[in-house]
Amino acid sequence: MSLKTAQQYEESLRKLNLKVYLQGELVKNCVDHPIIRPSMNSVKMTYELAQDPQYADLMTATSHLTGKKINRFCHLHQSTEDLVKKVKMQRLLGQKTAACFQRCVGMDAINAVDSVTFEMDKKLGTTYHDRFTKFLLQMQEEDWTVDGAMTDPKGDRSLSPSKQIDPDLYVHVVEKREDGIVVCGAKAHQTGALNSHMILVMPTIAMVKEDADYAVSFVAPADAEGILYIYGRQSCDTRKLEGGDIDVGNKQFGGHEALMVFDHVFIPWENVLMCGEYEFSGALVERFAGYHRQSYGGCKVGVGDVLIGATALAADYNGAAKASHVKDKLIEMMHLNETLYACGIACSAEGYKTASGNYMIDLLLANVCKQNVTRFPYEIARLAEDVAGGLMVTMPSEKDLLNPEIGKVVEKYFRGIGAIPTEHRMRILRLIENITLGTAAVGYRTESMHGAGSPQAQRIMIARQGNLEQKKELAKVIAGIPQK
Amino acid sequence: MENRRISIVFCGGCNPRIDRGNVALQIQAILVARGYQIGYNSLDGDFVIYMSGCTVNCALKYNLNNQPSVVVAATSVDAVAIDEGELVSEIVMKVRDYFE
Ligand SMILES: Cc1cc2nc3c(=O)[nH]c(=O)nc-3n(C[C@H](O)[C@H](O)[C@H](O)COP(=O)(O)OP(=O)(O)OC[C@H]3O[C@@H](n4cnc5c(N)ncnc54)[C@H](O)[C@@H]3O)c2cc1C
Ligand code: SF4
Repeated sequence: MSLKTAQQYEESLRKLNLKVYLQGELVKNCVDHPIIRPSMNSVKMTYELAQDPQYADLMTATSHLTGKKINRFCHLHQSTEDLVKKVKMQRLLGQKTAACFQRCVGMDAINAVDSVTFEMDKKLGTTYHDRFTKFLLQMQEEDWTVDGAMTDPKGDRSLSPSKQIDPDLYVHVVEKREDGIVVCGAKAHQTGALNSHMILVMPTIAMVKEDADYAVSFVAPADAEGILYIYGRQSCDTRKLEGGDIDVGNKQFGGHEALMVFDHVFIPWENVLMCGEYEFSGALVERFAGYHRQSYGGCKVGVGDVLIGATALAADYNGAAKASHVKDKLIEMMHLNETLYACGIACSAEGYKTASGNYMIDLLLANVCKQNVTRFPYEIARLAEDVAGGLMVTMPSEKDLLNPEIGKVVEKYFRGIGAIPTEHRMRILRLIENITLGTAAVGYRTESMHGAGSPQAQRIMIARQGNLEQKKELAKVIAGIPQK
Repeated sequence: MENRRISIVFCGGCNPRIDRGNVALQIQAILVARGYQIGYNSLDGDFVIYMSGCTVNCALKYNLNNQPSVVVAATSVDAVAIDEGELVSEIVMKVRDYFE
């Protein structure tokens, strides 16, 4: 098959037998559930655009394994050009959905696992890379969406996995059998879990010998026996149950996260990609996080493009667009947004070939990218709220607008400039609310802070990669201090 | 012996993680003592050492005709990370493996 259509993707999800709880109830049909469906639409867009010749250059790639045209989300980057195209694709999808389209985590996971399993096999004589390549072939052939599952619940952050009171706070091997392993534990914050065909589990921190049972990586079908999902709440999520299309802000698209619980899940050996090789867990975390920190230089920028556009329209609609401070705030928003993009492109352009042959981003620049992402979307959101005015949080509901009695009052008092209907103004303000405070703020704000690692994680990497000693030597030469 | 000409090709050196010049001098000392000739920044040797200061690996951009080579990018040799202290011996070993 190689490239699924959007419809084939939706149908393939219907065949999954996922066990999902949402607001205390077992979900019978995830695909059509009004709270979940917008997130499915976002992933569906990754299939739809791949079929569109206008976007094929970014959305598709040529498989290095088969030479076939595949979705870029299933591709191992073969050049720095591929890395750049990845970021551009993510910006495009952010623009088209104004939400998290979820599929990047799996793409970043396969790229990290490829080089790490290769190096692991080379050093230890294991055979993980062959297993991984077989999985990748199938992923490309079936055009799977894969959940990249790294973050464990972690319990007491000051303790290592093996020292936790409850061993399940990190995913671990509870039994090794002739035919495979049995795992228990959970992965938290799983983006797009219910829209995925497969899960790729990886350890979440660098580990030591005592943690060997926790140094585990594997692939599993998303509906494997023993896996349970608990859907994450989002601010304003129940507006999607009201049936309207203004108050939700973004009716068609969204993102989601879920807690993924493994209760004695059996994984056959052919799907195991690390089992006890604790000395490689750090490299896997570092590379996955590096790729995902690059990703944000694309996706958040695309969502930022929509937010900036909405903010400019809010100013057009209330008549303030010509004010110099409003123009300046829009310029500042664009400057911040393009700075994020510049970081995403820079860490891609400075990428390099790994021993397995795929390309890795420049780690220092990717960490700088993500560190900026922990700040700039907040400032962009602040400026959007400034220009939007207080109405974005005090406005009556669309039901009031549509009410035959009071609709005229809403229409009259919330109109901005004469030429624009009040309804359009309400739609734009609700979109700004959605991205800055509503369901999409999960992706645009808090995920910008913590996704792919909290800010301190990037600072540690910047300290490690920043080449401080060389800078000292440079200063000594200029200042005339004799060198060692 | 006349075929043992080594070219060391440097990257531009904007933000190096290793002291490329020093590494090159150490390699030169060892290899010259074994009868090799060393040249810099040309591709006319029989074997090329691409010497980049960081993982971006700019020196490799000069690799146009796929000559026998070893690729050094920061502390990796042929894409495998090694300890900085072993860099010189690892590179010399790659050269000797090819010729000797
Ligand atoms: C919207 C969203 C989507 C996500 N999607 C995915 C996904 O698809 N897949 C995935 O695997 N993960 C995903 N993540 C998880 C993300 O990687 C984590 O949120 C991140 O690593 C931080 O972990 P945490 O949330 O447990 O924060 P915490 O660990 O609770 O951190 C809170 C604070 O404590 C500090 N802290 C924590 N531990 C220590 C320590 N040992 N020493 C000092 N300070 C410490 C942190 O720096 C931070 O300031 C997602 C997160 C979000 C918010
Ligand atoms: S947050 Fe961005 S990078 Fe991560 S999955 Fe969502 S869209 Fe992709």
